[in-house]
Amino acid sequence: MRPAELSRSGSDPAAVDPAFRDFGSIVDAYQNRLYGFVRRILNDDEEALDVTQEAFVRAFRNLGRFDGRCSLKAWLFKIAHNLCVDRARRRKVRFAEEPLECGEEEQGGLASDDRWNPESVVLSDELLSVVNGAVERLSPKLKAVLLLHDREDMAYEEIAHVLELPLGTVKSRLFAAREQVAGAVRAYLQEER
Amino acid sequence: MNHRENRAVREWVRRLPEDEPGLAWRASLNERLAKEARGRNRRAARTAGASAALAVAASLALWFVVQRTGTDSRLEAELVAWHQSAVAATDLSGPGLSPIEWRPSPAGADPWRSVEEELEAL
Amino acid sequence: MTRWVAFLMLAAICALVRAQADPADPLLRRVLEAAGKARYAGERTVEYRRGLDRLVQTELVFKDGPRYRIEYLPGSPLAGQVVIENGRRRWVVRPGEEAIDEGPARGDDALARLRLQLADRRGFTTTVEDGEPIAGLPTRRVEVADKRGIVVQRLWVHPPTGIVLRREIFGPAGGKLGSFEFRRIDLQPRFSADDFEPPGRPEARRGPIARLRELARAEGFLPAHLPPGTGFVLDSVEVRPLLGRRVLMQVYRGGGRILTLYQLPPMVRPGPLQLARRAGLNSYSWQREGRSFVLVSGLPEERLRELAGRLVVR
Repeated sequence: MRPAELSRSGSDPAAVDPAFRDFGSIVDAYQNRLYGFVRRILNDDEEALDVTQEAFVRAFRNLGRFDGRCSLKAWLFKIAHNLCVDRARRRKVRFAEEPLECGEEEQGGLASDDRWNPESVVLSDELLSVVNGAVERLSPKLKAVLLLHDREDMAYEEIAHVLELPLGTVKSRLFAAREQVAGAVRAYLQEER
Repeated sequence: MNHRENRAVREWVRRLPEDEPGLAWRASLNERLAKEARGRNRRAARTAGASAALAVAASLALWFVVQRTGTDSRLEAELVAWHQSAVAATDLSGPGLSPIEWRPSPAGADPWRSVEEELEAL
Repeated sequence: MTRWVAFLMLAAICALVRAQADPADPLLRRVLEAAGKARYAGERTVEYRRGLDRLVQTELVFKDGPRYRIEYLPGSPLAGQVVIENGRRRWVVRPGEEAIDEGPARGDDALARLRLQLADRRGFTTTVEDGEPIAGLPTRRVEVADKRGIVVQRLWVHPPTGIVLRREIFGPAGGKLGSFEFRRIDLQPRFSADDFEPPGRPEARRGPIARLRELARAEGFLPAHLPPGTGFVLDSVEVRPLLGRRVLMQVYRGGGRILTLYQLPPMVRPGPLQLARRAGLNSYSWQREGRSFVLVSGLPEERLRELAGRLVVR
């Protein structure tokens, strides 16, 4: 086990010996996070409710097979992500590849705006909706990496395990996803000036 | 993208509002899990031997824990969900019959249909 | 002179309060006005969601201003049942049952929550845009969202009449709780003289308190209820199964609010329900004569506690 995974598993209270834990408390701990992830990946509230529920049922059914090689959280997200991919296939929606453009030319001086300072982030409702919209518009592949890393605090290795991707792809997708979100914020700030 | 923008995006994504799947959803999940646990116990009971007995014991232990700790929350979830459905029914049915008042006519069937039933009927 | 000044000030305050409560958008004002004035005969489908289960019902709705007649079609689980409302009282006739359930008219309660949301301009926002035709009529789509941007309801309104042709209701997490939609509608209906008359013999009509007493006697509950003067009237009462036990559920209405009172075996710890708080609701539970009572509503907890103290058993 890699050190990053070890520390994450150790800090995760619900990951301790899950076979003998009340599965209800596992659901309590992860239902909102998992539902939020699935909802954003599928862009469909109703389907997300269904998929999240199915993910927990499958996890419960296969709890005995959980071997602790990754964190319980990563295992749950892996199940949920696989179900999302199945649903997308059924809907014939491709998890399309995004061109990895950097958009360097758009950056011109806007990073000096105070709202880029995470310490003094005042996330106004409007800015929040810009970020939310930008995340929603990402392709599912980019979105999955961004949400797992920036929202769920997973390490690159863990994300690579959940999404079954090479480490380099995780990093490049994270870069591309952040760039697209930042691009949307830049456009918004520029409009505001 | 510079380091500052990277950190800003990360912070914004982290601060996006959290989603809640709702109490009715949770009650329905609890039902499915309880059903799953019962099915598992029945399957386990069919197999013989010491290892099977251990598996049954483990399953039973889990099932009892779910039952014991789940009873209160399931009860609460149902009471809250019934109230929510009374409120939604007011908005939707107006003077018409709300689901709380629904008593099937003598020849009528159970008006609730599960999605699974509908899929099976296809 | 002083009296006149006071009168004018009072009138001005009343006008201001009314203006604040009225929605700014003329379409929404028309929706609220139509509740008591519209005339139509239509067929609509109503859908309720409960977790993964859903319940769909088709009904014929006849509306003449504040008067309603609703019939359930053959082939439906509620076939033959009829609801009549004359603007003051409401009756439910069920085939095979001699007793006719009688209660207070619900009137435009269906729009009461919308009215509260539209009056709360800080808490809710509305957007209006073109909607698709429904039942052959053009519509405008109204979306009401809470502070977090989560849609709480959508309405498709026929602009000339203000009639709501489709409505979707969502829960606090954004999950759909139900919807209705008209399949066909006649805006120039002709009604019979007795369409909205009280049904059956007067002695067959039974109010909700009488039904409560009957159910309590038959099922071993206490005939406990909120008395008149609390601001809430009993609308419906039913016994429902829950976790292998029987629960007496009473739904009260008052001032556009819904209050639910449960009576069940002593299975609930006194105090508030944890899950109610998470759903943005308040609750208060207590025990009396070996039974648990629970009140659930959007009202403040102190008000629930006060109502709990006013419960009567008779």
